[in-house]
Amino acid sequence: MFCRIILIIFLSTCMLNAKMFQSVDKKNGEFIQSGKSKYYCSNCAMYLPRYYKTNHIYKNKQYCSLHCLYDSLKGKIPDGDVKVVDVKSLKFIDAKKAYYVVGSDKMGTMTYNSKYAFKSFDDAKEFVKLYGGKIVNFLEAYETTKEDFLKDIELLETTKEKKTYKLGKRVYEKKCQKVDVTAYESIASLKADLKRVCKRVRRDRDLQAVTEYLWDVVKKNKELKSFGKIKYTKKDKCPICGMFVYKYPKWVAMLELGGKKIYFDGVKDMFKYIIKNRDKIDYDKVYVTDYFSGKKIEALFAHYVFGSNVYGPMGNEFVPFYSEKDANSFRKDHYGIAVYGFLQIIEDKDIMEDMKEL
Amino acid sequence: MLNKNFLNFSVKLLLKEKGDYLFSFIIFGFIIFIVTSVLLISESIKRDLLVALQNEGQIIVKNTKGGRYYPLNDNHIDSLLQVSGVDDVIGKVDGYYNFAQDRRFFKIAVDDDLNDTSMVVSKDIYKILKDFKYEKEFNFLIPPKNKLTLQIKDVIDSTIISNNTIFVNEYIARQILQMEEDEYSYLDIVVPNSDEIENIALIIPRIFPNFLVLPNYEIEADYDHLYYYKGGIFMILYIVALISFFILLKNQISSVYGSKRKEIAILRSIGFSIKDIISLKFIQNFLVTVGAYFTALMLSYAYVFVFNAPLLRNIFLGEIEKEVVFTPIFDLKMLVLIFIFTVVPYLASILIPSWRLAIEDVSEAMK
Repeated sequence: MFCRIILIIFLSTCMLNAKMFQSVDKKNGEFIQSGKSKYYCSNCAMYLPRYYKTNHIYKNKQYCSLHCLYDSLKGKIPDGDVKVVDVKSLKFIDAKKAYYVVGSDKMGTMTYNSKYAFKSFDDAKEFVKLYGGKIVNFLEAYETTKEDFLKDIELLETTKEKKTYKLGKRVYEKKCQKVDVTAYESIASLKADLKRVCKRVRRDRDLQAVTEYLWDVVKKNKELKSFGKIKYTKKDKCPICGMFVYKYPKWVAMLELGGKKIYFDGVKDMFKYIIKNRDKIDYDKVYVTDYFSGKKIEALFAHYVFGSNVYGPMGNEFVPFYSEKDANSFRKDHYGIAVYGFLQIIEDKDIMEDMKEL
Repeated sequence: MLNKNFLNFSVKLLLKEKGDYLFSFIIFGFIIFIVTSVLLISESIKRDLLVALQNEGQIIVKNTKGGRYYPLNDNHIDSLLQVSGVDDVIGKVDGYYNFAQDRRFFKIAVDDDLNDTSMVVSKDIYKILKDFKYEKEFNFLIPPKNKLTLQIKDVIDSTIISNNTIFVNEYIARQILQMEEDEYSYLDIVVPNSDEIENIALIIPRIFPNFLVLPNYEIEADYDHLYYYKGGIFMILYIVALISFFILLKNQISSVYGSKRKEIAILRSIGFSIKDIISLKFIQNFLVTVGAYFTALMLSYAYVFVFNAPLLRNIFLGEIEKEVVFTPIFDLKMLVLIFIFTVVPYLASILIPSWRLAIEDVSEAMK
């Protein structure tokens, strides 16, 4: 969690002013694409004027950031002419001759590690003086993008899972005419058409959310991480301790055995039951409640924090998380001892013994 | 002996001395009326505030610079979404419009069901607009030189939340408040696990040291404190009510020891047992106190929720908010508490001296 906080602090040090640094009015920018999707990034459909200061052009396509250029080229180094916006003059310049400032305090586009380009070395130096960072050339900036790529994707995915898809679905159902997503070849053309059919959607962020929801979830059938909550009745009792599970909704676990659903008031009791009846149980039909979101997740793929200062209904507990990142941050915040996987707990007898001794 | 005749006799005896009992009934009822009315107003305001709070996220954050509030933007939302345990971050738009003609600020709130040409106002605001001849529409002046005209679509009852509020859709709210598309007044942070709210409220200032972080339990505590009925002006009111109550009790006790002394002795001499005398006194005073209690309750409900508590409301709301209506509430716990602290001591103050007189020697009492 500490590293994560440092990362977020880094991301946010530049955010004292309300307006985003990258944004310019579309009258002041240069947009080379034609047609309905003129103002949208070829790779992610984001509104180009909003992220203008990090815009790139390659083979007549305009991208909102170096990250998107890297993504669309699948990591290959661009062989031809690449252009980038000069932050000072807001004109496009040859990227290969530009001076990039990497890692300044100013927020980047699609990345936690910002990259801004300047035509003159002096301008870049002045920028570094004000906002920090390092001056590099295009290839070095591209290499940094490569290094940051996975971490950036992880941050973007978190935002999409937590916010974008939910917002997109809600706005689409409430304010848009329905469209056939399969008919679109690029995300930018989808967004351009959505602008026409979602007349009551005025903010680009909402339109972008609808676009990403339709493109990723509806068109590409991206699987979302949660599937509701574990449903139980007031009569359901834990077979290990006999307690009613409805009193502890944050901790409920459930497994299906022989067409019957068996409920537990905590993960610890669930593991005791599984270890006793190991041969009969189908591990794919075991579910636990994600501690942070309260959603039902598959126990087999969950991460369990052992030895934290958070107690369940039966005292010390294995606290379940869908994401390993969440499990690790919880472990650090709540003084957990270790993070285990499902099979690890079942197969390693010592873990259950350690749990007894806590 | 507790039969129909006995009950009849008790009531007849009560009616014989109706002057005495009427006095107790009125004073006792008045004390309950005042206490109940004050509690109903404060509970009603508190309930409205808490209901409004339930519609917000578990943590509210605002951006500050040098103690002043500044808007937040989408980058803040994206950063806060990365915090483990946060399920969603919702940007909210609100603020104040300076109605310079009346030197007054109107609160602008968002209702996305409205279209671009209409607004909904509270009765309080409508009254002010009417005074300035804005009966059907209102012009918002947006510096430097723009004017935005909105039709008054509806006028809603003023509650403690809405009394100074104009509702418009988000797009219009941004225009009136001169906020950019990606700016927000505050952020609602959704934390599904209530046990983690405190922890996340500690993490956020580490990321954004200039943020004002308000977890919902702190806001709730603030509301509780605002109308804390064990302190401040409430305490003075209770002390006054208690003193009057004790004066009433003293009056009752002395009347038992004075004129009632002979009555009890006569009843004893004609064959009433001690139990009968206590039952008789209990029936009489129970009718008076419980009658007064329920009458006072009904009157205070009508006073607060039908007539909107004239006079008393000014203690809570001041002179300005004239049209505020109180949302009716029913708090059984509060009513039982009032019953226990008023009816029970009153009955005890009658029954104990009556019992003491009843066990005295009859001839002594008759002297």
